[in-house]
Amino acid sequence: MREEILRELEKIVGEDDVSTDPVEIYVHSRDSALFQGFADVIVRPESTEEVSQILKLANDYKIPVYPRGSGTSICGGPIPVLGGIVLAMYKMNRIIEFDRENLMVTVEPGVICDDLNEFLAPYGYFFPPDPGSSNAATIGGMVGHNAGGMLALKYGTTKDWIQWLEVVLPGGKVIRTGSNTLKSVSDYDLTKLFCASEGTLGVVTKIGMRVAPKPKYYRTVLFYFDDLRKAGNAIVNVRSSGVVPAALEIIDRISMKTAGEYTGMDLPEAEAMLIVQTDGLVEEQVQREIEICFEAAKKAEPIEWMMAETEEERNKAWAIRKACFPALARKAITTIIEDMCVPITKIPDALVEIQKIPERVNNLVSIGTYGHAGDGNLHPTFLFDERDPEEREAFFKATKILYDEVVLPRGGSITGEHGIGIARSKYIPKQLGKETIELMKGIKKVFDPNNIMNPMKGKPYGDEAIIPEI
Amino acid sequence: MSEVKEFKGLSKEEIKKFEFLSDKYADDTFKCIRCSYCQAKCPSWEEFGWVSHSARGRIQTARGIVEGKLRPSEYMLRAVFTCNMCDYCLLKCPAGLPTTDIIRALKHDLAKQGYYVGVHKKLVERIQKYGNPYGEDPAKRADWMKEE
Repeated sequence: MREEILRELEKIVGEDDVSTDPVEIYVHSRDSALFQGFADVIVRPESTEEVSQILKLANDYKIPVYPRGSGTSICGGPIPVLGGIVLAMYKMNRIIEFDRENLMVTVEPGVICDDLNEFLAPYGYFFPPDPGSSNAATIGGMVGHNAGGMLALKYGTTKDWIQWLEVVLPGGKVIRTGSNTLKSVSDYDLTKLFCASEGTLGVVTKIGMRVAPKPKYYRTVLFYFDDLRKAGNAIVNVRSSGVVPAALEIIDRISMKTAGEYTGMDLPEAEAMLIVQTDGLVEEQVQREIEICFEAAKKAEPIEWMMAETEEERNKAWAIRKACFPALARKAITTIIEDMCVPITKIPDALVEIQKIPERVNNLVSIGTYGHAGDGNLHPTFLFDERDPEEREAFFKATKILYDEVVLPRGGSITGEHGIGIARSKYIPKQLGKETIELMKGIKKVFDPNNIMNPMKGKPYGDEAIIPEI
Repeated sequence: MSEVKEFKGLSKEEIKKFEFLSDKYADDTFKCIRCSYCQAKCPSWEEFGWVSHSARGRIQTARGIVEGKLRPSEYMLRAVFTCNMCDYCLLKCPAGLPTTDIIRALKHDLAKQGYYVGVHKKLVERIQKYGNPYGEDPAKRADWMKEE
């Protein structure tokens, strides 16, 4: 990068907030995916005005810009593949306003999800989207990827809680989308367009969000099944019972075994485990709802079940689910989480097929699967050693089988809540078709004619995006 | 002031000099899943606000050395030695990595090759010269006691 551009950046944000040191560049070169790319400079803006000036400069010189929160993305979303500026939003982490009467909170993009909920808790409110990474994920990143989580079945994903956005466009123009009001159809719903745009259209600098009253009561029940299809029937039964549970999670045999060893819990021999939870403000209603779910799931013939009567028992049930990822991560050098969705009736079938994938790649990868059964969003977690070229190749082959042969033929989606980034670019045309890609390219061009915003990420380009071989 | 710097790593021979890190913790640096759980409340991250100065950054820096993509620099020393070894990252790491041990190994291997920050250099010199880190005359060690 030219010296004069660095000097300009320093003028905008100050010398202390610009770094070109190789160590800083290196630690910003990855997210949790397998890809790597090196920026020329890391810049930490502190205000919308600074972001605006940076984007004007970048647009004038056609320099790529990659907005970045905590780097918890698992699809290669923030990787600086073409050099340029990493726009590190660390300093824009203020909770600006909490309007309790209107149930609205206004934040900057660098606020961490758990910090926001810690702030809201004393008032009896919470921000419901709950990605597994909520203790590190920033609200800006959650908007960029439309993060979901275990509570998405009842409470929806990030986009369902965003009322309006302040966004800086390439060139420096600052726009506002949406409205403070619950209803508004004044725009093309640009707010939702920016949700899950993965930083390819502009930089979100303020977020107006709704919050919800925090539930006071929870009821949880656990089921074990000796057959994946029975577990699948239970999911369908619960979903069609009339109750919308707060969470409906599934864990396959491999994940259950690994999580059992990790937590020291003695779990029954089973092919799948389901966790159902209801929540709310009225105890009798929450209790009645779990009873309805219980009866519905029981019709699918579980081999064992456990109704969590106390908070301790409830925590124990969730400990198994929460242990899935860390327990698997300790088993291998490299752990990569995939993110697929299938219609809920296809979950058992998909799980059976996923379990066959390792054999297809000479068992060079292993896979444990768990996820949000209520909305068909599963996270097959691949374990291998990225340093071994054969295992690395096997991983790419295995993910191709996953998307081409398991997800897409069953009418599923290649990503439910993690995003396209670099990892899933090539599967977009297969899911959406070339015409949709062309339309997305057109949208991208309207916002970012010089293609400076997070370039070469899949969303607008599909299989035309470059995947760096690093 | 920022400058465009050469991005040059270590040779295989130079990596070997990071013996503690490469012998005991090389695999662990690759096992880091970069989830940032260790970063969110890392005290030095909260103080400095650069990823390099956080637990995640230090584990990644260790990986950068092991895979020959980074070499020691003043900036690296500052980033590594500002870790106060509080073990927050150890408690938070879902992959169960011995985070503080990795950082300790990195500090050890850097220091052993003569890369340490100015204040440490002073401490070592004082210990060598006076037998204490304060640079005080050992003969006056008992001066604080009152005479009976």
